Amino acid sequence: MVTTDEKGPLTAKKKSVIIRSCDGDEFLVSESAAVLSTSLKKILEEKEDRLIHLSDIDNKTLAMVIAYLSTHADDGLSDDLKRSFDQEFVSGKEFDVLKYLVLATDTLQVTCLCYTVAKKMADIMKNKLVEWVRREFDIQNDYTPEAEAEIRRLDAWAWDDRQLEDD
Amino acid sequence: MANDIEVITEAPKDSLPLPNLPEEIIEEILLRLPAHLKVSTRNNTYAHNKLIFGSKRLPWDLYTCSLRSTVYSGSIYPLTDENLFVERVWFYYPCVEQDDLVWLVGSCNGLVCVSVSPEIIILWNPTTRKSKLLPDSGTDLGFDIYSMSYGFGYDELHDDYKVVENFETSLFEIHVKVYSLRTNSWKVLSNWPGGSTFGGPGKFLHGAIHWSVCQFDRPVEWVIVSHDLAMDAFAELLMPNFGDNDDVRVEVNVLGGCLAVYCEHNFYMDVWLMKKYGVSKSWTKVVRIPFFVDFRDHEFVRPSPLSLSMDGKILINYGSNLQIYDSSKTQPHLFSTTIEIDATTYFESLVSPNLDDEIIIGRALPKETITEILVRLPVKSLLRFRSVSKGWLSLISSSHFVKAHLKVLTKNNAYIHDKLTFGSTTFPVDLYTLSTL
Repeated sequence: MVTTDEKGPLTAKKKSVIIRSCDGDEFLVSESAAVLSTSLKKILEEKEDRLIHLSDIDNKTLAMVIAYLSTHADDGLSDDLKRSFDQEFVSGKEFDVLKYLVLATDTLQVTCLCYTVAKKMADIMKNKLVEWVRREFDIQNDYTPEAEAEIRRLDAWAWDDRQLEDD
Repeated sequence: MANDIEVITEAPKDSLPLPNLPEEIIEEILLRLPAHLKVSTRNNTYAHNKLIFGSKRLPWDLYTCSLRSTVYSGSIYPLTDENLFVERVWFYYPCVEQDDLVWLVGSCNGLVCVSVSPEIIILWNPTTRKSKLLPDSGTDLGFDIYSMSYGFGYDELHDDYKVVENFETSLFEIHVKVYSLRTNSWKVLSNWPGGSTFGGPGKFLHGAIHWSVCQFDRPVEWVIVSHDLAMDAFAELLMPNFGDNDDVRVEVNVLGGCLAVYCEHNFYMDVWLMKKYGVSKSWTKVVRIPFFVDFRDHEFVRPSPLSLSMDGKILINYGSNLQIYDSSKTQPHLFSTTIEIDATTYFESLVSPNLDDEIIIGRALPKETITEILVRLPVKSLLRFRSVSKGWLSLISSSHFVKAHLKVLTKNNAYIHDKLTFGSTTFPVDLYTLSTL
């Protein structure tokens, strides 16, 4: 599958690269969009090869990242429009999807997207129960029950006033 | 227990900054602790090599519900009798039954591959005592089985551990299957170049499993078939020239970091080493071990050299015991057929046989990414999330994190929620806060 960058004839004329996801789908991306990722930029500077094979980003996540990069590479859009695109981009996405996204931004080194996604994740988790956080981040509780109770007692005020959510 | 609580509660209360070592320095220190792969591989492999051995048959005095096999472990360098200090390591797996035979297929990066009677395969780290039962390979073990053997190794390209099953039917057809720990599944290979392994085990070196293979239809009968684990490609390596004696039994192995061939004649065994991998001219005969028993009478018990010391001493598994053979001394070799011992060498590492958690992307977020998310949380949430785990407590309490949190707050106006503090100036002071949104 080759998905063409749909950002108009202007960018299509420019140099482009093919990025392949770990599950084999290929995406045609303009070079101006690709270089917004520090990792891709580095590869493009070193290699003649116009095909970049990513080993740990699946096609759904990659499609999202490329949509983001292409929008931000578009000189025709104002900063305000880009900002509202960012809001739209992360809104309504599930926490799992955001986890894949934030990992992809880590691999590709797309700092601004990383911050946007991290902010959204923080917003989702701020009123969650500790148990929810452990589950979502796959963290083992390594406290003894006594130690955990002690930790909770220290900042009891942080626990009391609000209904905390578990889903 | 009480001490635990002390330590945990003190840090946030007194806010006395503990000397925070930079992470890189801590990493450098941790890397130098034992039981870490990087140290073990970088240094001379002899220095950290350990031997693991145990009777193939499980002991009968077993616990009612948990069955355990007795396995021992010991350091084998320097190789002297006095130094053969062993400690007991419990090999435990619930599915193993008491009349099962336990074989140690081989080891790689500190993981030991154990085959039990013969369709159960378990990957086991004796150092961390973690183990994993592999899924069934789906091979139909009907009566047409001639031999079944395994090889175990590491595919560096895909950062994956692989088990190769070599199954020969009574019609001398070879079926090869490869298990990948990353995908946790078996796949069938159809490009086996032909020839029989006679049940000889596959040995791992330089990214490939090596099998000694007999080709009946060729002038040179014995070759080594190497199976590259990254590409699943097969290639052939030439055996050393054994001389006129055709009646030999050949086994490929790895000894002292070299590919080795054990060539068994009637009353002695020659050990050959391929000093330079892939160069057939570099085959060197290093030692001839005389037998005091004709092993031809003991079909299922073969002597097998396990380790070679710098000064030419060699540790041999004699089927019922372990012997150090020193060619400068003549010493009797004990031999009995009542019990069998299986042995393999390994070194201590942290490699886990359960890669499952790592496979799913998004499960294990790197620490930097978690930090990026957490610095965007309000303080109240952070105070609660300190009780998620000890790791999160130390992350959130670290001065590095506090500064990063502050930076995010001040850098981006959108996140700032100024608060107003006010209260009466007489005691008791009641302070109130108010958000100025």
